[in-house]
Amino acid sequence: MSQFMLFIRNGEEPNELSPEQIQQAIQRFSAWARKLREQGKLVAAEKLKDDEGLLLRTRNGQIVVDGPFAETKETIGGYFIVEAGNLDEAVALTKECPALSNGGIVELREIEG
Amino acid sequence: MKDRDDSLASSGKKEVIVPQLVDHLFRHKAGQMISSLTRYLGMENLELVEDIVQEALLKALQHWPYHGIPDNPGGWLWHTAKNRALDTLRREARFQKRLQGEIRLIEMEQVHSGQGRGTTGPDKDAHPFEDDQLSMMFIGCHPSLSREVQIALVLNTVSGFSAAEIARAFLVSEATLAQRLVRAKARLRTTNARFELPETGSLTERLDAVLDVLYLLFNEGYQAHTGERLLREELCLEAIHLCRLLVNHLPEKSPRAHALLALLLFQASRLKARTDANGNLVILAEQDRSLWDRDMIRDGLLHLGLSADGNTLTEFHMQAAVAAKHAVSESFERTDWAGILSDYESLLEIATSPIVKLNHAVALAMAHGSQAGLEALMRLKDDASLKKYHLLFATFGEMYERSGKIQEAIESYREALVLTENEAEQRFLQKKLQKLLILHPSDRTS
Repeated sequence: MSQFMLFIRNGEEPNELSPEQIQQAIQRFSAWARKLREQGKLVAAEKLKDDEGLLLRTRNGQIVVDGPFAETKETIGGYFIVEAGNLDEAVALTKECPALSNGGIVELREIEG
Repeated sequence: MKDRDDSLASSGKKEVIVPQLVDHLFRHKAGQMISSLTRYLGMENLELVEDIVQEALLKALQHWPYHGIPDNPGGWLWHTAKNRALDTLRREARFQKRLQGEIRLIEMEQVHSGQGRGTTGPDKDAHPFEDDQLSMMFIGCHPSLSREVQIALVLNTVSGFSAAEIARAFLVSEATLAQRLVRAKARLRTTNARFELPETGSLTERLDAVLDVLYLLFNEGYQAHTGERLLREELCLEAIHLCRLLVNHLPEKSPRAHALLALLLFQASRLKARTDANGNLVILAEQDRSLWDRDMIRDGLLHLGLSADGNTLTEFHMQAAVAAKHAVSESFERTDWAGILSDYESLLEIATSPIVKLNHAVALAMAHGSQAGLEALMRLKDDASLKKYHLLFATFGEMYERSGKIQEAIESYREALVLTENEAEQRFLQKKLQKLLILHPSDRTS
């Protein structure tokens, strides 16, 4: 068993969604996460704060801090850590992630164990 | 989705109980939260309130996928929205020193303190919202607004439908509807509409407007347009939901409100039976009565009983009486047509609309034969308001068909077909025509 990390990048801000549509989106997501949990594949899931991202790096011997970044649609909204037998299986379960149907991007990375 | 979740849970390797969302929770909660927050922030801040509520709903969308659905989702939403509103009020109080705002702030913290922390099981914070929704309903039916706009506004602010959804249900463009809503809200601001139930004196008058709006809202959903069937059914159920809210929370008894609720329940009890799997209309005579919702009928009879309290007899009373006779009849043939005919006669005494006359003619035919019905119909033929009414001609067709006048029946059905734009009704009429044409091929050329 390997562990994989799914970085969720949200799609466009869904301001136009009606309450009914928001509920449906949550239900799709919950069903997906619940399935993973019940199959014992979900290791962890955390939401990241929306606009606190900073980049630190050394420039001319000094550590500089950049950010925060305003482009919310490009920032990582949260992550899931899942267990899967191999990359193919991980891809298969990521394909079902509802973030993809909302215009989001999911980055899939294997955790080196 | 529920089924799949349940099967997973029962085969669960690792049993985790995750709370489920009640159907339409977000929609209902949105209406409740908008109404309650408007009480505290005032009508002038309605748009701000709507933003706050939308933010709270979106926050759930951002958090729950990762953290799971909380034990008390409704409480979580209210808590989130309330805190956001309190922040806004605090800022307002600090910067503008608005005493009003501070008073409201304190009030709000007291009334809703300790509620909806999201940890204590079932949603116990239902009560205080309902009075607020009632007030919002009365504001939405403000006399300065047209009926059309009143319906849209109530759906938007009290029931949590988005402009796009209302537009889809009413077959208008989203932009048009959104604009109407914005204008309506602006008008309410300028007329200084107060967020409270009208005084006893004008309550009855305003209540009549509210009931009319609910009646029209229901009919909007009940008319058999094609497509969006679920959305239309939701309008019907929402009208019932709001009417029930009225009946349960009005400060004084309203027999007319009970009568309307009874009527709506009887009509809605047939929702499942009135279209077939292909979306075709199934007329009353051919409906599978085992599909009728017995609970709704029982509930309808209860409210029909309550509507008899007092000495007012309204259109809703008579319509409910007719609907009740259909609802309790075990078959079309055994329907109490004599009773229905007498109900329509009483109805004609208080409301002489051509549509009532048309229904009266149908009842007459059912009670005394199609000849009597045809004679009554003939008297309606020259009524200007029915000249373009497809149901008059469809009824003519039906009566002619029953009395064996096939040629006249065919002509009437053709006339009706030209006059309706409703696809389900067109299909229905075409089926009727085809049947007659097969039986009487000689009429095909006419």
